[in-house]
Amino acid sequence: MSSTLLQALLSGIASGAVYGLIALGLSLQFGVMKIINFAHGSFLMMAMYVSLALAARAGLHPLLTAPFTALVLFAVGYAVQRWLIDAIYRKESAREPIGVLIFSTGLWIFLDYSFLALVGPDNHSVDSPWSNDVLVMGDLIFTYPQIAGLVFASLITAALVAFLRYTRTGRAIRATGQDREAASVLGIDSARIYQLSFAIGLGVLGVAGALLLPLYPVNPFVGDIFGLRAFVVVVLGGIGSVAGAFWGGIIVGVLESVGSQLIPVTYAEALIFVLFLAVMYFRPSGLFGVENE
Amino acid sequence: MNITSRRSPCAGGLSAVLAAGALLAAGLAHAADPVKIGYLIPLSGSAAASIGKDMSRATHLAIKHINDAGGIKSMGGAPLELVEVDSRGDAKVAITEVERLITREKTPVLLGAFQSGVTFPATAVAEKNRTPWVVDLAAKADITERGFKYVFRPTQVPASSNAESMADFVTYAGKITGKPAKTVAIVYENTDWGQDMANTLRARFKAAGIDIVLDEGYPPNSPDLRPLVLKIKGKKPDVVTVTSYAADAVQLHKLLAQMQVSAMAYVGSAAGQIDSNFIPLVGKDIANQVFTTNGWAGYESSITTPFAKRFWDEFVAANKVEPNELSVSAYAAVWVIKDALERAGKADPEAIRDALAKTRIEGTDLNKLVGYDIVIDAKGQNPLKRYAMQQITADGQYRTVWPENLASKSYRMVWPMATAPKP
Repeated sequence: MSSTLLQALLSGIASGAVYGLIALGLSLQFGVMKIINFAHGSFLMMAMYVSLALAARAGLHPLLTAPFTALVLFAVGYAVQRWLIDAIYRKESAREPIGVLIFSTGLWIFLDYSFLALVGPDNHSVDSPWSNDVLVMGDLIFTYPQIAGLVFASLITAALVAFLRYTRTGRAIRATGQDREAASVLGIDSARIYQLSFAIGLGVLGVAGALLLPLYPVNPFVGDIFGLRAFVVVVLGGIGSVAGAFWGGIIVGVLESVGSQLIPVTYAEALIFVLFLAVMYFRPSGLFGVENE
Repeated sequence: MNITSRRSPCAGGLSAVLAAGALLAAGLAHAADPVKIGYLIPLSGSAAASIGKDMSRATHLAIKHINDAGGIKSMGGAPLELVEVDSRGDAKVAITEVERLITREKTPVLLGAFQSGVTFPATAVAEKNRTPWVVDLAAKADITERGFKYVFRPTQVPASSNAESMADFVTYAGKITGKPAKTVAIVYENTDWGQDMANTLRARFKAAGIDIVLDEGYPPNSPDLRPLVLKIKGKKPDVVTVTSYAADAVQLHKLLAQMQVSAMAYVGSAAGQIDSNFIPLVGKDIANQVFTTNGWAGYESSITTPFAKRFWDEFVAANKVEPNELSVSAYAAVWVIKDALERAGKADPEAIRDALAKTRIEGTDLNKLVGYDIVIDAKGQNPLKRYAMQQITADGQYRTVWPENLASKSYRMVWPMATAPKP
């Protein structure tokens, strides 16, 4: 029994790391621009399809598609921010960005159904034998995609946190997030920062898509569930705290995995939201969030 | 006096008018108003969209075949016109759309909607509006247990029959091989269909003296079913029953193989495991030796007439995949509507309703295609459909193994599974 729980714990950490990676971009976007991007799940779906196309057509190993999906999503993020979101954002820079929220909702529906029209409703998976290979350690079994998910999600998160903390651009991004006016007085171009953070957010999501595809089949609506999860993770981990999103993901993953062993699976799902509500009630800025980070 | 020459202009004119009138009348008869069929089917929303798409293609093919053969003869050759709506797998959408189909599009008959969770509430709207509804494949028992007068289910029986077949097969396999299963894990998607199946499975396994070591519903389209599979592994069941739609069935079977859950058999409930994408997505190694019920016995037993062959050939040519129970049932349901329209003689909901209630299609090419007679009883249900059990072979074929009278003569089932399948 305890080996089952240990397996559940480790599997939960592995899937939680990927949830965290998915939520990372969302956290960055919200922390810097204070916008809620409901199309986040749809961009994940897009990343998975790009990875699928590269793996299927160019025969790339699923992991090797990650740099390409990151680049494609980075470009898409830049374009969306520069030419779509920015126009709406500017018009309401004094108030809460409700317009962007509504726009992102429309974008979500548009992207989902565009892909439905383009590629059809069928599920697709990546065909490589690597995705089914397992590493067996005594009683514990891990698939290589799980291990890859844990390793690369952790690496990317660490890299992003280091980038934000130690590089000039990173500090500029955090400054803009803290106080946009003060930052622009200091000569930081907030428009450029927004474009960069949105693009980085989606680039990270691109890697997550490549890591997720061997684990889960893609269809035009796969983003819906993960998008919802990402929101829970971001708010749980702390709005604006990128590292917090990662740990929030781990917590959700572990709760889901270990919880399911002890209570029915459906209740374990509910448990995640109970935790979410509890954190909202007792610590509204999230577990690791700082009020004005 | 040349009477003819004096009269011929008028006579010529009169005959011209008569001829024109006759042509016009003939033209009108051939251009009889199309009969609209309101059709709800999931084409988006991930759970069932790939199945919905397959079924929709089969439905369209039936419409084409019926119209090519002259439409509804008793209504002057009126063609059928499908008014297709995407239910998105969402009951709320379906309810709104049914209202619209009945009141705005004025469809005198409705068809659909594959998923029990959608069909159950949507048919209630049809009943309230006195418009007949032909259920294509939804299996929830209560759909025909409400005392409704306008809901008919010719090509599907309640889920209980499917579940009974699963449990009865497990008992049979144990007896005939001398290696009985003592424990079972029941895993199912937790909406209407899955819950209905689970209720029957529970009762039937208990009656057969097989211990249920795990009884767990899960939300369809869960991001991660690994915890559930881990739970299954921990309980060490002899048999695992998997009642899932397409995406989850793929995930579950892959996980069962990856996590090396050794069992005597995995038994599916039609739906996910017979979806045309199942074997391509899990791969032949993982699909090998999986059992699944199937409401259709397959090519060997059913494609035996030119009628059936035309369906098979045209479906494969247009869609590049083979038909399965889902597409066959969708195809057949349209022919049932055609049969009722012929007897009703007019596109009137009440007349169509009365005709559907008296449906008796026996021994025809259609029956040979689906494998059972179609006789509607007082509840609007056709009780004559049976579920067979099939096993997937190493080269990706579905071979019928039970009941004995339908079982393939050339294939011997593998029970228990050779070893835990290696992914």
